[in-house]
Amino acid sequence: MKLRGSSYFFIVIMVIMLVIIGLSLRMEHFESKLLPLIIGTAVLILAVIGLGREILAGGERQITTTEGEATTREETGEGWRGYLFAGAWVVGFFLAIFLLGFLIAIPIFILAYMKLHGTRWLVAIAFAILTPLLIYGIFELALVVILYRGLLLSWLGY
Amino acid sequence: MILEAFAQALQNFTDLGLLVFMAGGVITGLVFGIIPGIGGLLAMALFLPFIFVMRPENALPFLVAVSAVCYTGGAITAILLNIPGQEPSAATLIDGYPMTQKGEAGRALGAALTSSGLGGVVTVFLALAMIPLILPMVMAILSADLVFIILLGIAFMGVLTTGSQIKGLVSGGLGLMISLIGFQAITGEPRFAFGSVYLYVGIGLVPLILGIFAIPEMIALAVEGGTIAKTGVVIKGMHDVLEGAKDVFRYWTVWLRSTIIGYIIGIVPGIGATAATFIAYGQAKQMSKHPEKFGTGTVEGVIAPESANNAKEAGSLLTTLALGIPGSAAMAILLGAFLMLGLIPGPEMMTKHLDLSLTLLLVIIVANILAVAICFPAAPHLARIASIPGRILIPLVLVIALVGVYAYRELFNDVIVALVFSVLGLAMRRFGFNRPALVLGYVLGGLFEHYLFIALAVSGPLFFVRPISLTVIVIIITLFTFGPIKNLFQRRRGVKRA
Repeated sequence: MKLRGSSYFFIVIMVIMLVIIGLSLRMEHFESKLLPLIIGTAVLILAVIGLGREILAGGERQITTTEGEATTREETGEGWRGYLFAGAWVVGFFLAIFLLGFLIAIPIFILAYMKLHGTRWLVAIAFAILTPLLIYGIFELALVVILYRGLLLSWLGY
Repeated sequence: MILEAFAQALQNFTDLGLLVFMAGGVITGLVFGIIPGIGGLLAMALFLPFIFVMRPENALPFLVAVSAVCYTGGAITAILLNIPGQEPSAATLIDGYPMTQKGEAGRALGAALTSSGLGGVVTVFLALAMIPLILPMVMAILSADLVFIILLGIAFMGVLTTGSQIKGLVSGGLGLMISLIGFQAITGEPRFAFGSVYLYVGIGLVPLILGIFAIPEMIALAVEGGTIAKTGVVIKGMHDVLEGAKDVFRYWTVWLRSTIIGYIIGIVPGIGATAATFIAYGQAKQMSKHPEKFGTGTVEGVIAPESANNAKEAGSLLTTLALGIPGSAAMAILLGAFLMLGLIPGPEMMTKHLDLSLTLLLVIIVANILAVAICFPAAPHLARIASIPGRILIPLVLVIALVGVYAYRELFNDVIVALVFSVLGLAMRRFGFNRPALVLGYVLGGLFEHYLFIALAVSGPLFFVRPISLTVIVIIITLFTFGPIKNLFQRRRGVKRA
């Protein structure tokens, strides 16, 4: 028996709901545990039904592109690699923000992403310079939101 | 007396100061509405310190104009980039973004601008007509009734679903569960916080929405390549925008029902615009002749939430002015501004300062017209965002999304949470789970629990035995039985014809 991607998702939800129900039972007050228990149990039951239906249905695997819009394309390793690669850019940007702060991470990320995806140097550099300037102007100067400076700058005392 | 006050209110509009500040409020509201994480609420809060030195006739129209049009701005990014500029715009992206993908961004923008503008304008007349009724109406609604009004919203989780009903309900359940993270309001007991001080106050809506929608959409665009508008799609410009405006008149019943829903929810304090937009969307889908098209880019799905969110403003303002009860956080700020200017919202605003109250209601009309007049010519150009190559759009959107998430509360933890939710959003997108239902569950879960325990404490387990509660219960039952009964009748008719 081969499970679909969404079947694994149902299993993850079932495990989370079991943990939630367990944690809720340990709560001190009735008012605190009432809704987590009701909702947790309901979602658990729905997830079991959903999983059961998918196992019984078997057949073609489904990939859904937007809400409710399903195609019957076979999931390929290549597809997953694409998602991992794109996800890695997001994680990389996040790490850059964490270490260097928004105002340094933004131009590096924009320049790197655009250049490595085939954008011309002039366009990539223009966006890499103008975007942080705009962000700085709107958020720091106009809205007085002090953007995160990053771990490295914090260590250096900024 | 009302006519005299109305004449005075109209005369106030000849004051250049009022017009300038109102126009400033419109531009501020639109700009702040477009930027994710920064809403009209923040704009109002930021300008509050300057209110001290201004005349009430200038300061209050400015704040009301910001609040009246910020949702109009929020719809633009929701439709074009799947990033709701404002929280209530989350319902607009369900159909707005698929329309952009189909090359109908201009039409979606035209429909959104027209429906929200008209919704904002028409409800002011409703508000004017209802001034004598507002006090008994608001006083008649208790916590028990709010429980069922919110339950009505939760009931729409199933309606929002386009594909598998079970996946939709599971998604909504996840949203409800996320809303329970943090201190329980009645007992003060922390739930699912695992000792984290950050989680004690719960998960913020902005990191959740941007994580669930914006980041996964950009990852998917990176994988699929190209532009937001699918290959071969032609962006038609102003013709498309006008077509969207005409759609509002074509689907005038959807617009009217949603406007009334938004207005009523606006009057009732404590429910909010996000719930109003989802309830309006749900009813539009439920009453539609082709509900299966919802979620795939149908214009009715844009008209319904956009009518409701601007329609809410007149109702909220009326409750704030007449009773001193703010219907939303924005109205709470406005209430603060009134007090700072030495005005006490309440019955006096309907007698002694009736001209000012009417001026503010009229400001909503003019502000909405002005917002539409500004956005309409820009809409065809904005629609071209859909044809910008992903390699340029993706990094810019990711930057805007993550900066918006951080700016929301200036907490880096919010960025981490957005990243975690982007994984969840991506999985839900890929496996056909319903992300809007999750947001709806999240928005209404906390409110439901809050009012449920108040109702239980005040009226006991039979708290629902009240005319309004029972009426809403009947509406909920009708909602679930309407579709099957309609199908049954259609089948019978089919059999008879055969």
